[in-house]
Amino acid sequence: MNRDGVTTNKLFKTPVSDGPSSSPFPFRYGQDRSADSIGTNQPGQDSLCIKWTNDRMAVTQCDGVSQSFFGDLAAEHLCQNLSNYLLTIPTDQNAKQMHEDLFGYLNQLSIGFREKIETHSIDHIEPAFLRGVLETKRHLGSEAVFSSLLLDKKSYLAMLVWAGDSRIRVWKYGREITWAYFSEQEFLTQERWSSHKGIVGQLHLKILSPEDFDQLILYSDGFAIADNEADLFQQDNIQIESLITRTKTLAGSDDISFFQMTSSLPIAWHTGKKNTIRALNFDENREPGKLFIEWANPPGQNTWELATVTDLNFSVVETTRNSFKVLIDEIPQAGAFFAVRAVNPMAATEWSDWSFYKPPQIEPAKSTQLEKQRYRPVYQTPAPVDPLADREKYEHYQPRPEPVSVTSNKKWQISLAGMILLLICVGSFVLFSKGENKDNQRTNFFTALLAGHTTPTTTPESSATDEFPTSAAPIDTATPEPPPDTPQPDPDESELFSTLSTPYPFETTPPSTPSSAYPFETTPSSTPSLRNPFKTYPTRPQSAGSSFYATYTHGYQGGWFTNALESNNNLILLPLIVKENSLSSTPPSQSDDSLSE
Amino acid sequence: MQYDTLATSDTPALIIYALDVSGSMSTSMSGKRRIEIVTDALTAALQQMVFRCTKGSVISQRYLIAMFAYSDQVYDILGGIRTIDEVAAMGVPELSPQRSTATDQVFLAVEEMLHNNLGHLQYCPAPLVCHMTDGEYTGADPEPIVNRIMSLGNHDGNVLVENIFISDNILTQPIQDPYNWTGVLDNSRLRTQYAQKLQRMSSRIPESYRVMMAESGYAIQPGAYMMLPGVNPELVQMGFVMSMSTPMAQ
Repeated sequence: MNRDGVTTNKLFKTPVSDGPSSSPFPFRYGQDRSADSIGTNQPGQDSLCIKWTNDRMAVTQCDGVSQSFFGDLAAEHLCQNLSNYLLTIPTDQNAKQMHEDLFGYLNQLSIGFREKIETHSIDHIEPAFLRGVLETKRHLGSEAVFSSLLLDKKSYLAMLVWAGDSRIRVWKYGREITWAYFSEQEFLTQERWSSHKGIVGQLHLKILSPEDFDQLILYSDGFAIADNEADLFQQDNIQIESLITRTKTLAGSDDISFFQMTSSLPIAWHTGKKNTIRALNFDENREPGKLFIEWANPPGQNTWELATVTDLNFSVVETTRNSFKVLIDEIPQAGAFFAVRAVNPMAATEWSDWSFYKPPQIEPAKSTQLEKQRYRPVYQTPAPVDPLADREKYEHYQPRPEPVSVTSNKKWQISLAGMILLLICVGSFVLFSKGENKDNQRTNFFTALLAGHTTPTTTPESSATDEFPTSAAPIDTATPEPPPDTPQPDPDESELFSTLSTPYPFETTPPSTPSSAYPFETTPSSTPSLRNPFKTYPTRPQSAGSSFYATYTHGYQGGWFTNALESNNNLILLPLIVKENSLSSTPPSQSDDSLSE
Repeated sequence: MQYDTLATSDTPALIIYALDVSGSMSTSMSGKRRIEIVTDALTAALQQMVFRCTKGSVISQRYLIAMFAYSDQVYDILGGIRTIDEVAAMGVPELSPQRSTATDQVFLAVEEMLHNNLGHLQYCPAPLVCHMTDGEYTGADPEPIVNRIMSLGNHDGNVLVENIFISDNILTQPIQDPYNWTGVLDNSRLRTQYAQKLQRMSSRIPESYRVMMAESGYAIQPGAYMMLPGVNPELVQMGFVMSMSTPMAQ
């Protein structure tokens, strides 16, 4: 039995593409990461595994539960194993027997996987607080929701198995018939496969005949935006891809996996027109800093559309030449996918297959610099509370009592001691400058000292201490807090008198977390200034919090090649989105409702 | 004003904690010092926030946290507003009881922080101020300041103010089971005038928060005030759970 298959990579985007022609059923598939995962360069938590033999195809789409322990591990493990199992499952049983077999298999699968989860190392993860939370998650297990499809030509069987809220939609003759076979109560978020519990909730199984439908689509809940797309089954790959990109602007941006198969010809998502362009050529050596994208120029075609998709952007541009020039610097480091088709006023050809281009990788330092330029700080650490300065702005503010500062007192002490020392020096100079030693030589205080004279005087320290005692404020602020078992003061008294050595209410020593994880490396000395409690900890770097603002500047208010495309020799300025899928430049993650408010 | 904006890394939810560290916080409740109970509840709340925000090994910055501790002075524990991953890196601060209860001062500081930052948070969930105290204020009346704070807001709604009042002397009827308690309602009888003041200084719980509380097993009724009598550690913890009940993308 010859097996073949495709498995998506959770680390990279897989644009919606047609499956290989060797599969027994035509299909297309795609996968993408959430905006969050892209932003933090983390793997997505969806997995899609499609395997087939000459007469059987098994598909499993898994969505790792993000609140579980590394849900991507569960998704990946379940995806591979369940697809393989479905390829071998006997199809001559009734539905109940198959359900029991699958239920037993999935529970058995969790036993071995649990050991893997329990030994999965998180020692390298910082900070310790996060490790503690992850240990709690480990205790609950790694989980994934899933939907699987088995198609068998020999037995004429189409079997669907699922647990959770992944979408399963079917069409026949262009009409959606999903709810003729399924009910909403069968797609519950809390149902899933768990490394520690096996199937949580119910395992759902439905056996159909391939004649019952001609289009079937599976996708994860991250693509919920497609729920209202009644003609999803016949949208071409570029349209689906534009829809996927649009989810990146939504508040609930999530990982997406998508699969569609058809049991009828012609293939619904194809226009039926001939695909005249197979692939695009990239030439980055023709002109420094520019990428030439070229494609075949069949006779009779003089207008083209070039679709481009990156991690966060999608666009289609039109040109009258069969080539484009793009500034390489404007292409994201993660690369870009390109597809092209010929268009004329009456129709268009098929889109070409995706061609991927990844620009030369620049040094990380340079990359960081670019990021810094793109973002600007958002959160400003509040300025030290200064009621006098704020009075004009907020008249209702009352000046706060100025706490006595130990540090400032010490400065005064040092200054006064210095002044006293200076006075002593000047005085001694006056006293001794007119004196004569035994050799009748004029001398001063210093030469007298060198000659062994002693001059009774008061030490600067004692003078300063006597004359300028420190205030009533706590003195030894470095004294640690009393241990927990120290008898506590009577609360009534404590309201009246400060029984603590310092009015500063926080421990000045780091907690028991490893020093590397503790951020107060630059914590001031153990004698914090009491004048300005807001300055006790280091202020936030100006670049911090940039990801919050990133949404407003990165990918929504201008495409990477908004100003970068050139058609042959003429530089042209292009809007970000030419096609109907206009990405809004308004702040993302908000529904239109909230904006209209 | 629906309080339904999801907390995401692009639209994080700001929670400002104002914690009373007056001397009376060193008295014991249920065998523990009050300040320790608050620290434990704060730790549990931060853990829950990190739990919600963690995907794989990365903490998504869905929460912004600020913490003020106050006695006769106001202390900005975190040095301004911090993202949840930064707070996780810092760990939970240890609090020590001080002297008096200058409640007005902390709310002035909160108001100033909101004035400085609301412009950046227009499309985020409405900020929430969680005030925890165990006694009456010793300074000026904080109610006018709180009213001003509650009049601030963004596209999601007005700033929410929650009060956790650690005291045995609030409700006429004791709370037997926090999970079955319906919350402080309009017809709830409060024993002291200060409890009544705190009720006036508390927002009504938005429905989205109430649903999140229900998912955590609590039976808070619609229209309840965001005010909790912290008569035991479970109720104090419930108060902190309420503070982080912002709707969140899964």
